[in-house]
Amino acid sequence: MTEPLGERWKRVEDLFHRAFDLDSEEIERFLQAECAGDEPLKAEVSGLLKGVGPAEDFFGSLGAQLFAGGDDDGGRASNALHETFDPVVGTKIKHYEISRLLGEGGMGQVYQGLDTILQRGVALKFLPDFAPDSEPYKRFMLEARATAALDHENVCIIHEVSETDDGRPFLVMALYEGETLRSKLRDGALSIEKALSYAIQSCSGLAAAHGAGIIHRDVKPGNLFITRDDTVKVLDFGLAKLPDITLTGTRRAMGTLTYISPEQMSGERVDPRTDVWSIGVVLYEMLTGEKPFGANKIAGVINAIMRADPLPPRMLSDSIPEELDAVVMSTLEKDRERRPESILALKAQLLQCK
Amino acid sequence: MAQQRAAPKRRRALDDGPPVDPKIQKLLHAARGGDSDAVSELIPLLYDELRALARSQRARWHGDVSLNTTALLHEAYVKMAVQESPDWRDRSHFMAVACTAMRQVLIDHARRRQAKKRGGGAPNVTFDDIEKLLAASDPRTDTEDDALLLLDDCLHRLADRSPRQARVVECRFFGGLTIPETSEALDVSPATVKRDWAMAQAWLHQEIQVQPEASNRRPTA
Repeated sequence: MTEPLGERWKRVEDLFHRAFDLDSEEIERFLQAECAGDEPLKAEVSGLLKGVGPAEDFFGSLGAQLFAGGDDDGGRASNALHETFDPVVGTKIKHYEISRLLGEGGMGQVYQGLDTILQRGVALKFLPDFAPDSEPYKRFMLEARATAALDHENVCIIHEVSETDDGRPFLVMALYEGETLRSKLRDGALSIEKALSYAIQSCSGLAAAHGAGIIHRDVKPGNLFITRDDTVKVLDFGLAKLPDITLTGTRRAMGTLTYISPEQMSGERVDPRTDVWSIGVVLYEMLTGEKPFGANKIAGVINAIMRADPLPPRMLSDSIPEELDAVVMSTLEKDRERRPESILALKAQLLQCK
Repeated sequence: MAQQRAAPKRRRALDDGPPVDPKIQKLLHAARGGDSDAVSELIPLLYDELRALARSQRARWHGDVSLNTTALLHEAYVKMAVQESPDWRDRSHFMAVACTAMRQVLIDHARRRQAKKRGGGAPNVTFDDIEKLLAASDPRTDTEDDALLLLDDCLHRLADRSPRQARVVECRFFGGLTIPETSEALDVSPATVKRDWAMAQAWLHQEIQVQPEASNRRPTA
């Protein structure tokens, strides 16, 4: 670029500053008079003035991306600022070297690490601080151990449940390459084949857990990890039991709220059919790109989950076959007695739709 | 020597007020004058404060300004043992230095991480990549680092044209200061900060969009 720096820039800056508070007609007149036929100068200043709005949007998003971190359901990932100043990154906990922050959410942080004994990558999930002797903590540990005992292709492998020296619990999980379903859904609906495949795999993973007496309670796109070869790994069993997960009006709870069953919402005792419901919501979203009970106001979503009938997916996308439409609608029955009786029954019905 | 922690000195400064750590004072003075080596030397001394600042900035980007950046920095300033000169202007200048330091820490960190991954060098990212990053985030993306480095690159060129605008960007973007805070820190009127910030953003946005292929660019020292 041959842009002469000093004088030229001063001129641009001066005109920009003076024109800044004018409206667009005044700017035109002002620049016409001031630039006196210097068209490139006029174009440069008016280009900058017009560019302010988009540039502010850009820097707003960039700042949020780089510095804010976290997301409504913790599906989002690293952020430069936090990581740079993160006291954990670069340290060693037990025999794990922590290399970077992968994500952060209501349930604590997830870091990438290296198991220095076995020389393999792992994901470390640190849980929120809560009393080690408390009932929820014990229940969680029990369930984490039970999940660690599961050996299923569609369940995220838990290598170890451990504690830092100062007593903070953490999970050591397998490190997968890929992204969460939540991240995939940002581009809108998936193909019917993909949606069915992911739903069926999720059912397989959940069925293994249900067989061992574990109900997930928090099935949502952020907890379904899709590896690069399109294998689903269900994450975060039992975390929904932690006291940190509340249904109150925080931004964070919203992600969880959208996928939660009516019986869970109203605090009833849940059974495995709560996961059937949530898979139904996820499948609905995969097929249509929309959330069946809305996504905005918390009160609206709660009301819709408790009372409203969702639009049949076929109304949103007519390529969805009737039988699949019917299966999705049956999973979203308010009365769990009317849903598929188990996650395996749902899986069988979905296989019929293939 | 930049690695030395100043903890004992700082504690003393809090306990019995002055004396001031002359080394810090000298560094601050040099940094204020635009000496970037001085900023580098200050960073380890500022680290705890920067970490706290980072936390408050996160809150700000979340739209929840529960912590006050200015208060935080004033506190940092006091801890840095410059109590002897309770002049508000010194404190404000300290904020500007802290914002510069913030930028430097972030950029150094991104550069180191990237060097580990692919041997360093120029940011390997285009405007489209950043747009994609903003639209959808992949948990394992390297684009954040690239975006930071690219921005830093452009910011160096902006500083060639207008050092003041570049400092406004440091305060507003990297330091998370408000317009009045930036105005105090840089000793420039709020109206000028507002316009500088608008123009700097528009200019940087343009620059970032017309970036040539990464391989043609050299990293800015």
